[in-house]
Amino acid sequence: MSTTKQTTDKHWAPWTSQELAKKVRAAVDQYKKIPGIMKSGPAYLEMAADYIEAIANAERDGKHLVWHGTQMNTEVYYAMDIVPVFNEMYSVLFSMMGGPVNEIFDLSATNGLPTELCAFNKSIDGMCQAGIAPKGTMATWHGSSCDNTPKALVNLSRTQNIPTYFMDRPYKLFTKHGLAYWRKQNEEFIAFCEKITGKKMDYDRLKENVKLSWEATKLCQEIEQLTWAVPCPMSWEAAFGPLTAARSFGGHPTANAFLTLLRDELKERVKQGIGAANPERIRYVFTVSCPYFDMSLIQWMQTKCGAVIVADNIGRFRGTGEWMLDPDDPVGNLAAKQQFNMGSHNYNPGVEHKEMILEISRRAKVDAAISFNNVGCAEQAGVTRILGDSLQKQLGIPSVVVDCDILDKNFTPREQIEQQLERFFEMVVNGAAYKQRRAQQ
Amino acid sequence: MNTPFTALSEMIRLTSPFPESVTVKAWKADARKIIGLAYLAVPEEVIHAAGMLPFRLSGDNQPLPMQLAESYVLFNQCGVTKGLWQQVLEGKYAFLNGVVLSNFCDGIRRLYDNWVEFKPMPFIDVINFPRKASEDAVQMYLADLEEWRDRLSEFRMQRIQDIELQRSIAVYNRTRELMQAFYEVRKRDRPPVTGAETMEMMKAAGRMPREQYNDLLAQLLDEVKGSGREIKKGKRLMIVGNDIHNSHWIAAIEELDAVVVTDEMNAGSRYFAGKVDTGLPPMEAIARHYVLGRPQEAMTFESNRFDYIVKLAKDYKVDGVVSENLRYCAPVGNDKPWLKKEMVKHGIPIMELDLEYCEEPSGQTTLRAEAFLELLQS
Ligand code: SF4
Ligand code: SF4
Repeated sequence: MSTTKQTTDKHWAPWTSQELAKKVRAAVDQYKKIPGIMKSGPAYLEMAADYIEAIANAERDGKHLVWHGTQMNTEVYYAMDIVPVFNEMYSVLFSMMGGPVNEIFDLSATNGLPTELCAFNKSIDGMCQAGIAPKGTMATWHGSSCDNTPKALVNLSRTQNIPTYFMDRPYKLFTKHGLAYWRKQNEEFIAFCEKITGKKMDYDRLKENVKLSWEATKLCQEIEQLTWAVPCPMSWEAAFGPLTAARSFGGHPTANAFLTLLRDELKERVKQGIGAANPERIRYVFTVSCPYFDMSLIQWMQTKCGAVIVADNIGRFRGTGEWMLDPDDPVGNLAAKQQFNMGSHNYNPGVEHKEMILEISRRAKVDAAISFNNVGCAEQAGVTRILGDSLQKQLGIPSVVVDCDILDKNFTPREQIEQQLERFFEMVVNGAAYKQRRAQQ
Repeated sequence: MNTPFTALSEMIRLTSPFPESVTVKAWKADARKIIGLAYLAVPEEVIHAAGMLPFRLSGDNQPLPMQLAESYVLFNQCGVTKGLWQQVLEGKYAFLNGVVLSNFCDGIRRLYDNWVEFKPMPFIDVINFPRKASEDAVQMYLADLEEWRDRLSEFRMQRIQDIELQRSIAVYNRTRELMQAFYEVRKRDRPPVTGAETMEMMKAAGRMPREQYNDLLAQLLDEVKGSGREIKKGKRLMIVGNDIHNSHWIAAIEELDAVVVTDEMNAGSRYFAGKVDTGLPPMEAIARHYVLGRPQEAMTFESNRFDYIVKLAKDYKVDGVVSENLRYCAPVGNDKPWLKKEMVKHGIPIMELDLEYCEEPSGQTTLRAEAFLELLQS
């Protein structure tokens, strides 16, 4: 069972998962007071609060706690009553609630982790050093989408001395041999969870969860299409809801409830012609990362610059997203899901990432592309220019690269980012391609 | 001052100037193809069997500019990727007919992506190298290699036959045997070769026809064994971590009271470990060797890398370890704290250096090395 007991050090006591859960819950109440926001906004944060509370209460509830990396099939965890904690999500919530990011980075540096590594690695390592990382009973992850994520989980499992299962997600996932390799590892992953929990997988329950997850995929796709409407109905406060729902609650009714609420709200807004920004000046796409370190930037872009997020690299299922192959083969379906999973293209040949960005930019009538270049992310540093050049050449869409640390809002001063984005938006609206696009709308 | 070995001087002559050396020019003059590759995820044997020259992409004994590369990949990409890409952009690899890369790490797969996007060439391919060492991984890799064999066969307009692969395996196994024997003499209390010389010998392997190289290596081994040379230095060091490919800074350390006796680098002990099994069908033997038959490295998640380092340290009676870490190399960088703990656990002193790819030795590096050696003395 999970032993989520954490530090008793006074300095760090406000940042245990129990305290973090209280902070997120309080933030929901604050959110509700913001005038004129979508009702899906607080619902999104509520989902995050539920998530963190489950982590904080895992021990009390007699549940296993699994640390996992990006892209893992949470359907399996939920079918076995295992509480998942996604390293990136946990770090983002810590940062969003004002956690002392610099201090945990310092602890990580003292531990010997190079300072130029990804913030997600440094944060979890630092939290372990501070005694505020919830203690898992196991760690499972796969080699996606970069070198840092798997290593973050290796480091964490070594520090917490917990058993692990690593899934080697194939680079060429659309090949027959890649898929066979992947399916086998999905089976082993389940066997590993069974071994650690001492429980047998209930395959009927898994089937149910997979079905729920499939419905969630379809809801995400509907939401995406609604977001592409002109004017864009999706406002900043709910924009990352689908990502959180599908990634952290895949196979859990919470995701479907939230996504249904959001879909219906967007439908209504489209019907009434309600746009997120008034007037809507710029429609933009995040081609690599978004500003997790300060999500209020998205609000600022919308309210002050009339710039709305209409597409996101990570927050969409690829292509057709048709991963439900056989309703009676939940494991096969979950293996297939990885081909289309949100953000899965990051780990495939860059051309797939490029084609995806071009496709959504075309369909979402994008005017501008923004890349938040997380300084610790060499993976994305190698593809940013490919994306920017292709957008410019093929669709006349200009790009901007904003250097940042994905969790640390002090890394690049807010004022500097605002100035850079304002200049960029001015350049966009004065461009010929933009004018032409607007004339056609 | 040690007298240079004739065979090593010949290797250096044949592979100079870098990269478009006299050997490269002679090979091209015969209208034969050269295929670039990086790291140990792409089996050279298959390229060799196709009658093409596998050429290892790298830097050499001088710092690499990276500004041009940084106008394509952002600054926060590792120095190897930037350094190689810079050379591609400068046209230094224009002699290549093709390149085969892999998903070995973020840097190398992004190098592939940029190459495809900005510098297309007749043959660009990428291999799915497993990041896990298991039987299933061998099977997946084997299937991917077979598909690659088909594509490479198409490129040469003739099927690569098993018999050709078997011949190539024999040639490369001979290299492995010779290198193993070469490293064996470094175990002596007073080794006859330096770490800097060894690195030059290793680099040449990836830059010239293998049969010719093997002959020179056999000659070098004889020379080394018969030289009577004994390097009398106070401390025996091992280098671990990223490959830097500039032997000058090893030489700078060896100017102090130390000699480098082994390493866990790709252009080093990792390259020649084990042998491809000649009793198996050739492609399977290759796949098996590359996934299971070599010491695991930082790019294999959950690797036994530290055990390998500890074993080397014992086998070569190492007094201290020099750990190299290139900025923005996530696989090696993330291992750092654990490597240190492991070394402390086994009582092996460690010096950590953060270097840039191909950089020249700096006064600071030498000072740190001096301090480290003093620590070892005490
Ligand atoms: S930001 Fe980059 S390096 Fe960090 S976890 Fe994401 S993909 Fe990996
Ligand atoms: S330095 Fe590291 S990230 Fe860069 S190419 Fe080498 S192994 Fe890959």
